Parts: sequence; C-alpha cells; structure tokens
Amino acid sequence: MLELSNIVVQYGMVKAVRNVSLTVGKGEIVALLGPNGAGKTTLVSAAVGILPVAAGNIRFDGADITKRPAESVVAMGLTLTPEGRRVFAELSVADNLTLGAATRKDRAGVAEDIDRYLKMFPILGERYHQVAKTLSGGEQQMLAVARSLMSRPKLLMLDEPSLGLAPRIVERIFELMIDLRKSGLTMLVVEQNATEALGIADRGYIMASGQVVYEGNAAEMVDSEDLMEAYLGAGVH
Amino acid sequence: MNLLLRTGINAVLPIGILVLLGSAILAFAEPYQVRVAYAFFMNLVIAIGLQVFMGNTGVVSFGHVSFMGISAYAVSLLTIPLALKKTLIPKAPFELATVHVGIVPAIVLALLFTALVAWLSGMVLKRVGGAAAEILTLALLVISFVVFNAWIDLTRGPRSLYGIPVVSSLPWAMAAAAVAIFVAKLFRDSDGGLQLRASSENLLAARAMGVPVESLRLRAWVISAVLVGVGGILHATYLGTIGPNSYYFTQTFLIMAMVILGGMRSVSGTIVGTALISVGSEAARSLENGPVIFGSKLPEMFGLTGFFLGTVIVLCMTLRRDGILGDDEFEDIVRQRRMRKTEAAAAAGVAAS
Repeated sequence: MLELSNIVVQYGMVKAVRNVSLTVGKGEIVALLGPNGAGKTTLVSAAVGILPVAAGNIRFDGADITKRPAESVVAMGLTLTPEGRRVFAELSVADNLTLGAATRKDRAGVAEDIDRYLKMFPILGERYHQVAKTLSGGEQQMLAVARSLMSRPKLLMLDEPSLGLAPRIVERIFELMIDLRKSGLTMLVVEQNATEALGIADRGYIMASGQVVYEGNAAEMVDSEDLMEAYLGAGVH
Repeated sequence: MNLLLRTGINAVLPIGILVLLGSAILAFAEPYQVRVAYAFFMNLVIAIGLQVFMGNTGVVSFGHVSFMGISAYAVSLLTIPLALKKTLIPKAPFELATVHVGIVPAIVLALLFTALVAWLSGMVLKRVGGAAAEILTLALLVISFVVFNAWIDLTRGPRSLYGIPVVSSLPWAMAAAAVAIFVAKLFRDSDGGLQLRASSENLLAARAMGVPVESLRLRAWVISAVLVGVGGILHATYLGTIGPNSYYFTQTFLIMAMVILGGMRSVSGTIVGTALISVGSEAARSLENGPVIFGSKLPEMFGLTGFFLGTVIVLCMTLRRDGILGDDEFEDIVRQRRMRKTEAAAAAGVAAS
C-alpha cells in the first residue's frame, strides 16, 4: 500500500535518511524502531510530504506521491500523527477535531465522524469546549489520534504514540491500535518502545544512523535477544 | 449553524455599539469632534485589516500601511480633475494625465490594483514564516515609501497630490468599519481561518493534517491588504490631499499599537485597542499644546503622542503580551461568563442539597 524506495532526505549537507526502502501492505501493522536520531521521524515526515525528499520514490495506493504536497497526500488517505502530541494547545478539542478534517469537504460526514470519535473517546466529549492544553498527556494523545482519524486515513502513521506517557496509558494506546486494525486501518508505528510495538505489529524495521539495518517478522524479532540488544540497546526485554 | 448567520449574530454587538456611537457624534458633536471620530473609524478599518493577517497567521506585519498608500494614490490618480492634473503631474506615465474616471469605478479599480500588488508580494511572502516574513513586510513598507516619494512624475513626491474629490464623510467610514468587522470575523471563523490559526500555533502539526498553509497565508494577506486599502481610500477622499509621509512609520506604529494592545488574535481586541489608542492619542495631542487645566498652564510637550504610543507598546509587551482580550472575542467572554454562572448555580444547588 505504501512503498518507499531508496529514500534520501537531507538537512543541508547532512543526510538524515540514507537510501531507505520500506513497504507497508494493506491491513498490516508495521513497526519502525530505532534509537533517537535514527531518522525515523524524518522518514515519516517525508512520506507524508512535509519534508522534501532529495532522492528516491514514494508510492501510495498505486500512485506516485513523491512530489505531492501534504494536503494532497492526506486527502488520498495517508496521514501522520506527529511526534510529541502536537495538538493545537490554544484551540478547543472541538476545533482540533475539525482541523483533522482539513482536507475534507463533506460537512455532514465530518460531523458524523466527530460524534463517532466522541463515543470512542468519551473523555474528549467531556472536554469538548476546553482548550487542548488543559488536557492531560494521555488525553492529548487520544485527541491527536482522533484528530488524525478525522481525515479518514487508509494508512495512519503514528510517530512515537507512547512517548512520555504513563504505562497504563501506553497500554490503552496499544489496545486502541489493535481495535483500529480490526476496523480495517493499516498502520505504520514509529516507536522506541520496541517490545510493545512488536507485540502488536506484523513486521518490523530497525533504523540506525539514517539507514534500515534490519527488517523482519515481528514475532521473530521479539524473540531474538541478540537483535534487540544490538540495535535497540540494553534494557529491552 | 450556518457560518454567515453565526458571524452575523456575533458581529451585531460590536457593530451596533459603534453605529450608536457614530450616530451620537453625528447628531451632537462639533465639527472638530466629527473629524476625530472619522479618524477613529478610518483607523479601525485599517487596524481590522491588519488583524486579518496578523491575527490569523501570527506574523507581525510592518508593511500593511503600504496598501493604504497604494490604494490612496490609485484612487487619487484616477479622480483628480484633468485640468488640475495637467499642472500637477503633466509627465505622468501610462497616459495617466489624460485619464479620469468616476469615483465609484475609481474605488473599484484602486482596490483591484491593491489586491494585485498584494497577490504579487504575497507569492513571495507565503513561502516563509516568522521573522523572515516580518522582515519582508518591513521591506515592502520601505519600497512603497520610496516609490511614493521618489517617482515624482507619478506621485509628485513629497510635494503631495491635491484636488482629490472630497466625497467621504463619517457615515461612509462607519459603514466601511462595519463591513471590515464582518469580513474579519467571517474569515476568522471560516475553515480556512481556523486552519491558518492552527498553523501559526503549530506549523508541523497543521501540515500533517493537510492544511494548505501557503495558499491560506496568501488569502489572508490579500483580504487584509484590500481592507487596509479601503482605509487608504477613506483617507484620500476625506482630506482631498495626500503625501508619502502619511503612509510610513508613524501610521504603521499607530495601527500596530491598536492591534497589539487589544490582542492581535481577536477582532474584538482590535476594536478595543483602536478605541483606547484613539482616545489616548487625542488626549496626548491636546496635552502637547500646553492646555490650561484648573487654572494652571501646562508646558508645551511636542512629540507626546509618539511617546504615548511607544509607552503603550512597551507596557503591553511587558505586562500583557497577548493584549487586553488575548484570544477571546466578545461572544467568547459572554459565553464564559454564562458558563461560570451555570457552574456556580449548579455548585450552589449541590451544596444546598
């Protein structure tokens, strides 16, 4: 469904992503793992069209989207939930959700979706008119995910959804991803929390220093202690 | 609720108050006070115009007064009587010395021309945000001033143009202010306005949502330039004479103080800021001449108005960076008070039972 081939992304002279190829098939959950600074966020930002790629090719749903701007990529059904719960802190929960549907024109459908996600995340309904900065970290992450879903994605890329959240909330986020997969959503999950991510994923990629250093079956990756130690560092278990 | 209807309802309160105020002045005030009121409504149109860009993009613009000048010069060059033009600007380029159109088509053409210049400059501006964009707007102000001041064949430079038909009066300025408030509120509440405000808060997240940031910035820039242009036309057609210095730093700082003091992210804030600064500068101006108060003669203090504006900006930036109203519109304040009242009532109910 999403095919990245030989992607290079540069910040000035520095190549943050070097010759990376990655695919996500329909209905899959794919985990993209790796330490800080490996280029994971850069890669997904380039995939959605926020950052320009210096070389390589991006295909989504059979179309070449390498040079398309984010607004057209999102409209096609490829959406990114950015790192660090980037909700619009000064805007209300209602406005945040509406903004998720920025590329959609069907007002009735948008209203229906808002109702649906308020049922799915009751806490957002309670806080509907409050500004987003008054929400807790976990609530903000729920809002960020709900906001991304408002664009009706076919493939959702989640960048570090568990970052800085309490273990109980992290668990809920991963349960949510399993539910979303059941509803037919394809996902690419960027995580440092390797074990949890591989627990729900079908396949995994490991990036280090801007390159993919390993790809494989998620279940096998969890079992391979050497691999986990080598690329994701000690303390993973 | 339908956007037009909702904006209409929300705009009734500020527009109503301003119309009442203007009507009272028309009915009872001295000619001098009518002139002050005219300046207030004209500056309100310009400040609201500036708010459309600054408030939604979060980018401070020093350049909007250029559009005031562009439309003022455009309308003047089209409406000054031909006989007068022959002596004022005999060598005007583009055969302008032989062109004369009625006031209404002249206003339309002037606004179209302003929109064109805004669109062209906006094509550059929309690609950058933050400090780079702010420096670009400053450059625009300087460039336009140099053109007004140095293209003697066209503008007569510092010697100023006169003979512009004086057709405007206080009711026109009031009507323009009402339209400007409505347009600004409509844009703020529209999908595009919301998306633009979101992008000014968090550019990356807005882009990830597929917000077309560049085209929205361009839209805000052109709409705000046209509103400021309306202010320029109000200026030229009231005074009948214009010169380059009216469209430079002094006017820029006056308008910026108005927008910043009230809260640049809110249309209502701009109205409040414009009112306070207008009253304040008028007071400062009367003090400049050393009036007699309670029998004692005060010293003359020329330049007090500028000092006043500077002080207001410094105090505002130090004490209340978001301006008096911050993000809130009048209707938000009303709604919050109502919510607090119901909450208090509910709490009281719980306590009683």
